[in-house]
Amino acid sequence: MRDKAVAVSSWLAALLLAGNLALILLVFPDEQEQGPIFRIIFFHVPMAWTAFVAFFAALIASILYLASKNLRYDAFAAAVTEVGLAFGAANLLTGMIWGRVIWGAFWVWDPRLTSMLVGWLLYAGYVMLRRAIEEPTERARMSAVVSIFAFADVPIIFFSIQWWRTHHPQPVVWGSSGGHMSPEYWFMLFFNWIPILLVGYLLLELRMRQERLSRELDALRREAHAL
Amino acid sequence: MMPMLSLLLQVAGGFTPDQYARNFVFLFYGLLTAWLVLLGFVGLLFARDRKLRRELERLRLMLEDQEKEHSGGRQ
Repeated sequence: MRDKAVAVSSWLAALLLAGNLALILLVFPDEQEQGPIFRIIFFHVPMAWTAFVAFFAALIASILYLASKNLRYDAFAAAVTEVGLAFGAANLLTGMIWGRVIWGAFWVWDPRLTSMLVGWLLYAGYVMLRRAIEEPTERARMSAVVSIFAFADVPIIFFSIQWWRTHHPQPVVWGSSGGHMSPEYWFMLFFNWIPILLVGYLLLELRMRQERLSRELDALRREAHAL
Repeated sequence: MMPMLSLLLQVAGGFTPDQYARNFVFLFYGLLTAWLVLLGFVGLLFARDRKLRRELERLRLMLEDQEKEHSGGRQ
């Protein structure tokens, strides 16, 4: 069943991505002021949303772990955080490339960019912490606490463009200026999120397979110690 | 490719052809970078998967050897 879901998701993601890319590059007209680089929004924004969904899932799994002490929640939190980090990195880099064209600099210490970088580093710290602790239950407990703490940055990233004066464009989907985007662009933004979410699901499946292998390895190590 | 590029150049509003081409190149870099990051992550996952499987195999063999030694000792 799981293999079938993976196969269907892979084909669907590939087809949608190819179709969307053709639409975005060949059918959609250029934005008046930004030119072709504007099209990066169709990947930059859904990748940020995917990272936020992953970090939210990690938060829920971490809370569930602390409540139940079930290591399966910890494994899920670890896997989904790494997927979130990959999408977060892609979001930061696409944003930097857009910034180079529009602002003339790859990086500005703007509240949105800075809070996203801080969030990314917090979650990278989570991954490093997991490598540093050998004992599985201690590792799970400490990383659950760090994951909950790191999530505090996500609302700051989200609302930073409204709370502070920033270089970053105002919200394109929500908020008072959300209506600026034409319905076709708006639709494409959400429609391109579907394959990106599917890619996220596939990466999560790959990463979860490793968690299962790690559990098997831990069990064998315990057996080896006992002998 | 060239007719498509010239069509795109006509569509571009207040851009010189050079600016437009540079803008397009950056779009290409952006898309490429995004997918390279994800591909890099996939590569990392496969490398880790191989390492875990090797480690599992090594431990299984070690345990089998130890069990053989134990059963041999008992006989």
